[in-house]
Amino acid sequence: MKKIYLIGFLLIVISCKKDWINVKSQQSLFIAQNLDDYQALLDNTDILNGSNSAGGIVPALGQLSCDDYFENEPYWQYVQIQERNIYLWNKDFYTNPTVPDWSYPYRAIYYANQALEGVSDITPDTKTKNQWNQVKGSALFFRAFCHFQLAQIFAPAYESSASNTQLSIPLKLSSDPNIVSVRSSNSEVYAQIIKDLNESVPLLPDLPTVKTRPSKASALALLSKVYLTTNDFSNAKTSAEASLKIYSKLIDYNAVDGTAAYPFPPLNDEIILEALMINRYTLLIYPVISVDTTLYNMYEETDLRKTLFFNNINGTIQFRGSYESTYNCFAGIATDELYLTLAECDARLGDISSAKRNLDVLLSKRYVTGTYKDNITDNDTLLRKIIDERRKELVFRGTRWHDLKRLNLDPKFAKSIFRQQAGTTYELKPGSIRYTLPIPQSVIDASGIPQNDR
Amino acid sequence: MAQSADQYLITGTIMSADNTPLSGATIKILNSNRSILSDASGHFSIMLKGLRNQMSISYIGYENKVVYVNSLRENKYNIILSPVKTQLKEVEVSTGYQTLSVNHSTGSISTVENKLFNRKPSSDVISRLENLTPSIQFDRRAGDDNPSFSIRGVSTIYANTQPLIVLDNFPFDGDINSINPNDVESINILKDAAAAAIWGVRAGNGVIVINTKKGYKGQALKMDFASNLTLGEKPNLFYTPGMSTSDFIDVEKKLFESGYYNYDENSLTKNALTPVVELLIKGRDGILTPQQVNSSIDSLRTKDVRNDYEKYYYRKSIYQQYHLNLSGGTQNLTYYVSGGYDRNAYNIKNNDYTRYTLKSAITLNPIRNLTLSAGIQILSTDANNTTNGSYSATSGFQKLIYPYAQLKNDNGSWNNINWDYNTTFINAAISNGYQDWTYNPIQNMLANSISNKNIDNLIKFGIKYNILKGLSVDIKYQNQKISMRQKAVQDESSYSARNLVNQYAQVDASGKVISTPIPPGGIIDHSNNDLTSKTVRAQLNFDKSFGIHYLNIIGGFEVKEEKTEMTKNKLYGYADKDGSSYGVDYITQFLTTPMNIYLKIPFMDQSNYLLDRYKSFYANGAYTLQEKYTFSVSGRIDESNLFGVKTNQKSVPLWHIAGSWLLSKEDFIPHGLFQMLKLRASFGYNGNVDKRTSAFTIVSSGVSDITNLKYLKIESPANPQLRWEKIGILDFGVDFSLSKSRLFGSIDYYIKNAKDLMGYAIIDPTTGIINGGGTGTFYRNLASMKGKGIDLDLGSNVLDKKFKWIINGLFSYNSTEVTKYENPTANISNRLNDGRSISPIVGKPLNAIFSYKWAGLDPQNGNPQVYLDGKISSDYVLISKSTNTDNLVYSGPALPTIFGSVRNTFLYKEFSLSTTISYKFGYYFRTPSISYNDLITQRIGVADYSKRWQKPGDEKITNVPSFPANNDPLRDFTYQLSDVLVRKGDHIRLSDIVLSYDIPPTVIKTVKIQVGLFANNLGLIWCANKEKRDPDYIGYFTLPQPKSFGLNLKISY
Repeated sequence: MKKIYLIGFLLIVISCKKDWINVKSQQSLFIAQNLDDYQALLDNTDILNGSNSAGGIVPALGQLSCDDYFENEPYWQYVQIQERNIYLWNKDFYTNPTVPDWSYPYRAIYYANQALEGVSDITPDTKTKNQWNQVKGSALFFRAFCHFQLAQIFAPAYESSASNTQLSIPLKLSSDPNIVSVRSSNSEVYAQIIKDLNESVPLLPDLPTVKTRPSKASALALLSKVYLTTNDFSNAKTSAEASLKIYSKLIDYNAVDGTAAYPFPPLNDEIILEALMINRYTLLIYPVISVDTTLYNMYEETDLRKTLFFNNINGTIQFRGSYESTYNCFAGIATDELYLTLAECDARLGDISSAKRNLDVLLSKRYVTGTYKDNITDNDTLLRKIIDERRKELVFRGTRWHDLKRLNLDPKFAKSIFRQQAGTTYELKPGSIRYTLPIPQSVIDASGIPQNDR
Repeated sequence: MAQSADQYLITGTIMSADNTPLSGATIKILNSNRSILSDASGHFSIMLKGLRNQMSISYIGYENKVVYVNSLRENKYNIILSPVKTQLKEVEVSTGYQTLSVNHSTGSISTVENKLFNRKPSSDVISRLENLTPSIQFDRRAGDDNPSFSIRGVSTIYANTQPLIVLDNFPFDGDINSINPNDVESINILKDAAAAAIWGVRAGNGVIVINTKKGYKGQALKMDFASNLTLGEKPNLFYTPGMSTSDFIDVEKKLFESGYYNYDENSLTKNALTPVVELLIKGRDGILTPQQVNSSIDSLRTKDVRNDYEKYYYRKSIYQQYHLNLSGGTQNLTYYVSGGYDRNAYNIKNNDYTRYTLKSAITLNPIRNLTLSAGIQILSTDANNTTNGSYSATSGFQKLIYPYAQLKNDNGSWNNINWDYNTTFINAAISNGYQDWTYNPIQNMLANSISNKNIDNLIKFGIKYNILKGLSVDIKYQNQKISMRQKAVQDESSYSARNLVNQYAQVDASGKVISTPIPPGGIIDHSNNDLTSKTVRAQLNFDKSFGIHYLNIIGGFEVKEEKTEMTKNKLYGYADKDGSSYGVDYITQFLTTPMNIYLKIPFMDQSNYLLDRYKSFYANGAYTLQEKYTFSVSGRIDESNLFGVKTNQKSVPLWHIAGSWLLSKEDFIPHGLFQMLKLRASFGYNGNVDKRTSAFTIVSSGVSDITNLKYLKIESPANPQLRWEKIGILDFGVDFSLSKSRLFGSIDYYIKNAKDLMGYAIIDPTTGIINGGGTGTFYRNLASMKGKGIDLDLGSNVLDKKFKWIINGLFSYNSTEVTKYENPTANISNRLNDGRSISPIVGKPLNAIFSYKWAGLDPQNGNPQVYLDGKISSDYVLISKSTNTDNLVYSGPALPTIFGSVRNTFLYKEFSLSTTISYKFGYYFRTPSISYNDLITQRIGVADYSKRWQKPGDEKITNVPSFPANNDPLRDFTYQLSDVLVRKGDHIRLSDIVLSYDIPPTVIKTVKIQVGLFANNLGLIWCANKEKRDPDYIGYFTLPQPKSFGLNLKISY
């Protein structure tokens, strides 16, 4: 009898211990709470850098809309309706309510905001200060990177005179899902991007330990890209120079083995920050698409890129020069782009010799040794040459669309691009409102923000 | 007749109530070991000693009768036995916390008693319940051998849907299919809140209480042996009418001419081409003449790979079962020991299942008022499965095997077939040092195996002490340990192992293999799960009558911990002969062939655990006045370590109130009209658990492929408003039995209200809270459902003479609709599916069939047309994007709303014949029809292709669209999801026939032997759809359960 009461009493005692019921229910699930955890959130390469299996991170809609390629007609039947609409710049083109080009970058921003909110609750001591800085700087960088990439697709080209009224993307500065999305103006969006990047530069290490992590070099490189997009050439030049001062390695294409299917290894020497273009589209894959013939013919015979970047298969051109070493497109940050940005800024600011020097540094590594020469003397020709080189070097990186939008604002560079499909010619005129792609319907439905006119 | 002083002769006749002599009845003289049998005319005679004696008369199917013999009074006895009553007896039901007499119970509880449960054999417990009790519905539309089942319809949308299984007082954490049904005494199904609320947050889907066999006090040693053998036919692969091979070949020719295969032919990934396409290419390139091509192709037109599958992949199934138990008891001790052996050879070759079970239960009264109990159950199962190389297997490019493939060639060896890569590539690979890269379906099946060895040990102890009269304390402890060992072997000869080795092989500039980062050999995946669960329960019971008052109160608490530890590992280069394997480089990214992408070697090693802890307090009280009026209440609080939930939200009080009125004891009910009549009413709440979400942001860790650094992934966003699902049930019921059991049974009407159900809210993807496809979703409490239904369980002794006829009828009606679901996306195409997926729509059942309104085929081109905004349309993009719900027609629910069965039992002498006819009504399904996209991209063809529109005018005689000019999946969706393919699911089926024969004890004394024959799954008697498709099996690859036949033997001693 007494025994039974004793057991019963013991059970009551055990069952009243609060800790007993407060243990976690799965070893692998927990709540992020320290700096290591927040660093690990930002080390989620699937989401922040975009892996092949996770589908990428940088929007591909610009690449799909640009003139780097054309669709091979026999394969039209493989192209989904939505992609056909994108390809032909149709007024109304989403057949799916959700679009990864919108939601993947915003997911990365959600991660970045989680980390930012996490570190704001932690007061670092001297031992953890560096790590704290790195987490905060990285989160700011990723937030800026994604906002920038989104703005290139879903907002009109930045015009400083009109930027206060240009309807841009929603800025997400908090992870709270209850905050309703509101579209900011272009000036607010670019100001926030520049603010985040400027704040991140002093926090980040010069170079990362792995190329998926942001660094001072990548933050400055991105800054130069942002400034270039806003036509702020002197700031773009300063930032590009500062980045190259930290890291400026280029691959000499003379030393690249062209027999490999994909000649450039992943995470190679030119890459400052790894990021993958969203790969969920058929219109990125040969032989459904072929490289634009005019573009292909722009490469001279002594230009090593002509063979390292492309396979000419019975007249259709396959792109194989991705820095991902797969058919996936690299859309991160690399040194080659910095030299081109620098050269363009020099030319636009009137420093011909510096522009030529910077172009030469890059192209001498692209041509068969000793064959690259230029004897351009006037600024205009040089600027055109730099812009052509930009197109040739950064093919299939998504930048062509950014450049088309930016350059179309200048009547000197504005141009129409064309598609041929089933005997019909389609034209996208410079400054067309169709340069701003529609926002996914699910966003409009849920938030009520205005859609882009087409 | 002469008679000595101390011995005298007793004679008599044993008859049934209708004066039929009972031959072979056992007459046992109590207090001696003598027993005799009655003769063919029911007579018996026996010499007895002593003045007073007692005879016990027993006869199968009749109540035992004890007759007092007084030699001074009478020496001739006419004894009339009454048949065993099939109506509700004064039985007890168990809720898992207490056993109650039916008269004192207020809940809605269905009981399946032993005889009914053992009507026909099966190796598992659950499948036997079908057609034995109302409200349980089985859903086999996915074609599984283990169908999903629900009690009184669905009560949740995405959370756990399985009813709670209680085995002898405790929730059973193991595999329910491994419990040996031969150990089961009876089953109670707790359907309403009065019965189930005591189980709190686990009761939301209903509770099934399994009571196992025990020994009884004073029972002489009893032995039962049961064995059965079931033979099943091969499945019918032709059930879904596939396209004819000849039609398929014509499609390939047509596609070839349009250049469709150029992509595959030139693909960098070396996509495979079918033999027909390869022949056509040879014809095009001039390697073969057109005549050669055509004659080769034509020779394939008569082949059908399904014939080969039936012959070489399937076999007839054989299930064997043996079970022996011993039970008995003395005044202070009861015992039960059993052992069972099952062996099922499934209808896929190499797939089988073996089970050993051992069970014992002992109770002991060492001193007055103290009862000790102990039990052990050991279940050991070993299952071998492989479905590699099956008819529905698809290649790496999601393509089905082509219909003219031949699995075996003329010289008797298994054939290679074209699968992932093209023949030229495979042939070149072997000369470059790759492993053989050919695919051979049957060889691959033989070279793959998955074995699951489980051992489930359950030990329990109990102490019960009667403190005072009516007051007792009861402490129970249960410990269950389950070890699950899975071993998946891909033998070195298997295609999957060779393919992986080849894909990672590294080559030099000339393409020759120079290294194999994945070494040639087998690949083994081990997955080990160890579950330990411990439960302690302490309970006070008070059970006492005070004159006209009767009080029954229990109260107690329970703590439970369930821990599962999981480990996984993968071995490469495994050699079966010596058990050796190789270490591999998991870090380097290798360029893979022919995908041409950099990949790491798959790393699967993993260790993890799950830990659930529950703490519950409960009480149940019932008060009965004058044995007529009973009132009951219960309450339960559950707490658990559900991750991250604030403590105050962990506790959910769940409760019930109920009353019952035993009307048959009232004087105003004419005496003798009812044997029993009881009215019941109850209301209360049951709960349901969903552990997938939390109040805080939950992360899990992984390792990045790119950096080899640890990373975190957000699994679920913070949800501070999280609460548990609650299901309110209001139930009114009547239990009754007319005199002489002319009609007996129960009727229940219930209303269910499920609220705070979890669901996926579609949210703005800009929040970044998205699924893999990019849709913004947030899993939280957002939905409500309302259901109502009727359960009828009726029986009648139609004839009760020499020839007996008993009818049992089950009828269940259930309709459940979603009453709240916040889902802002308006795209109507999201609502269209085959009724198996869930698309909650307010005002409609969870599984509902919506369709586009069919508008016939376009007379110009045979394009499918539907109504869009009131007009006939074939703009498939616009149709798919429509948000106007008026464009949809609602056919009805996809799960039966009315279902049940009728069982007729005929008894004549030692023979018993019973048949079950089951029915389902009030639901809809889609019948398969040709989808050109599926045909072209996956080789899934449907026979009605031959009825397609081919020329203007055909639209008057067919609804099957024409072959499209361009492959357009949206065109196929529009047709597939239109109401022209919706059919009524109503049907009646002959479920089984069971025949049994009791060998009269005149043949073998003291041993009862029963032999039986049974037949299962005999097919549809009637169905509403004109295609004669079985609405229980609707998927393209779903195969109806084949007919099976068996015999069984029971011996009792």
